[in-house]
Amino acid sequence: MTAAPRPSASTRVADLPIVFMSFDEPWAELGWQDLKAKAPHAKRVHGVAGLDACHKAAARAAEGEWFISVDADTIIDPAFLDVRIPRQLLNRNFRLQWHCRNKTNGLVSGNGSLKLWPTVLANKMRTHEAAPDTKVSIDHEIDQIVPGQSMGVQMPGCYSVTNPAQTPYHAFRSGFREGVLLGHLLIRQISLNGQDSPQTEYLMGLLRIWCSLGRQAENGLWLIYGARLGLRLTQERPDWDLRNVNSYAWLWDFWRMRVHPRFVAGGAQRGGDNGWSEYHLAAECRLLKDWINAALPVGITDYSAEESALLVESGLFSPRRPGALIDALGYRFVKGAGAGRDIKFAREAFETASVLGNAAAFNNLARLHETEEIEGASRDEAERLYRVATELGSRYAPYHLAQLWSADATNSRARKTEIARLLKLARKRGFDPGGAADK
Amino acid sequence: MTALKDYPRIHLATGAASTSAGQAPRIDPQDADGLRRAAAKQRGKWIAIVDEGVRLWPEALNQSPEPELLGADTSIGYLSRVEMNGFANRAGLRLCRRARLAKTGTLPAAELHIPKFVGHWSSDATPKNAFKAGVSRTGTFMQDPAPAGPSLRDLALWGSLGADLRNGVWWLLGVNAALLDPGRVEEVRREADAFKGHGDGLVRLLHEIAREVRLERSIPVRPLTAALSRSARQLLSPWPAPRYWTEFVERCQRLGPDGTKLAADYRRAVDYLWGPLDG
Repeated sequence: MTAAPRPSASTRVADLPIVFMSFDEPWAELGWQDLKAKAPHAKRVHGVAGLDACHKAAARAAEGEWFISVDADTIIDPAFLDVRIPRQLLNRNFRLQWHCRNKTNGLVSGNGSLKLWPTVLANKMRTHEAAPDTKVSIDHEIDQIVPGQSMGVQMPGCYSVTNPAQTPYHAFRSGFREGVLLGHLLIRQISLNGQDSPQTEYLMGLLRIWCSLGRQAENGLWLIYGARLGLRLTQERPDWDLRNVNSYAWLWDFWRMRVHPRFVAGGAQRGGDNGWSEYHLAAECRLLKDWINAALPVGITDYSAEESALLVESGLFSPRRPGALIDALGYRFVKGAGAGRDIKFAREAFETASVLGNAAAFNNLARLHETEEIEGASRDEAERLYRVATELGSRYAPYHLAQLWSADATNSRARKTEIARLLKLARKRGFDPGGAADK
Repeated sequence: MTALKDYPRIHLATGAASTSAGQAPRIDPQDADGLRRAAAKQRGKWIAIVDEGVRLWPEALNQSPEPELLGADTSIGYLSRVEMNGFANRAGLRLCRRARLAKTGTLPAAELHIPKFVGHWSSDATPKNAFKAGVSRTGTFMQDPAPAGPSLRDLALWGSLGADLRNGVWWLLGVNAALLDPGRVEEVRREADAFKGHGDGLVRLLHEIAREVRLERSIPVRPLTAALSRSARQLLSPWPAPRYWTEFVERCQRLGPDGTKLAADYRRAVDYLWGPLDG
């Protein structure tokens, strides 16, 4: 009898279907040719209205279980094709994503990113224009496709550059959609966690870049204007229907009838030689900046083209909080929700996140030692890791460390005092094991 | 496990003559007797030495050095962040074996820098301090031994930020003078002295020197106004640049099996921040 072949430990990106998605971008053909030269097996969908429909069309074109989506604005680094995806992550519940660098403002983020979709997940989602009327959906919201199962997974590395500012309209559209999305998320985050939380600061950091940098690029000012206008709309007009940004037809009309005419000859502002007045656009940008800075502690700034180039080209922007995302992935593999249980994989994720100072990752590693689920598990190491997690501010670690110590019947008086202190600390940090679910 | 805040500490301070009760001792780095005595008074295997000009961040002291590093026969250090421009600086905090310091009074250099920040570094007490620090740190920065040392873009940013801080224009004058020509530093200092108390004149001089740096050294420095400088620093990554990670990973790999494991953890982590390291 022949043994069944062992499943491969990883899959090379080049061995997966790749689909290029374009709509109305005048440069799309060049992008498509570039991708074809690097990945001859790539396919293309063009002109499908609506982001939900467009991804479903890509899933059909891929004719397989998975597909990698490449936006028309995005140029891939050929090294991406050699990236290997661990077996554990090639999972029908996971949508994988690699950060992308924005050529206009230097930001490294999910905007324009390369994504690996399980076809089944793409077909199951109902977002953007396909969301129920009662729901505001302006993002893919992967976690909500199959609650408790599906998950967006941030992958290491940045293998693409997006350049959406190739015409004034497309630059404006890109900035405006992002300003609306981030502004909407900001309102939600402030109401959930307040203005000083790390999550809020993370969003502010993204907005700061979208609304400040890019002046050195052709059409970069339109991108900044769009981001500022989108952000202001979300803050000033809570009744405004955010879903407008899902419709490229609405965006085109908005641009054609309301935005562009303000800056061309005969419009509300006087036009220049290039059909629109950069002077007046910059002036409106300043007004938007003043309004936003008065309303929010984002601290956006006007840089000259030279100053913007200095910052954008420094290459010194990095994703801000990857530790939390890596820890969350590891936790999925501990719980097995939507992923299957894989403690070895989880441990590696926690160890990676702990290098980045993530308190939850130290706590989760400690749990693996305490429950003796990993090779070389030791109580001493569990104790050490709980202490580190406690110092770093974990809400759970003080409780777990107290429990670990409480199991010892020979505790000294000093140890009992310390246990009481830890339990009090856990409560102060919001973890009351009597009421909350354990983690 | 010991968090950095729980190690006994000595702060280095040139010219420090005495220590204050209840506070970490401040010792002149040249004062071997003082270092010996201060180390002897403490307990524990390790002692944290905080370099001159470093202001520790309380939350950064909650981190703990990995046991693999403490077990290796090497001295480890943490980086600080230059307050003026956000770049990494090897002056920071290092952990030394206390018994050895109590015996020799000699401070070992950190052999292995963990790519994490523990605080800000600055030297801005007077215009003269700031100018001198700008000159000397620029030399140090340009000769930093980390792989793939600073690029022209790094140098441009290094020479453009800081005007918002105390004596920041003096710092920038020192930086730009050093970038232009170390042989002309004294000449720039004399010119700057003539503008003492005349902020506008000093700023004009800075822009003139920066223009020469652009023309003669092809380094695109662009000294930012105070407001722009402050906001620009907020945009930069909170992590040290990739070359410090590369250096750490390479050196860690030489520490045996434990070091190799740790190097792999750091390599995976940096991949999320900066992408795959070379090699």
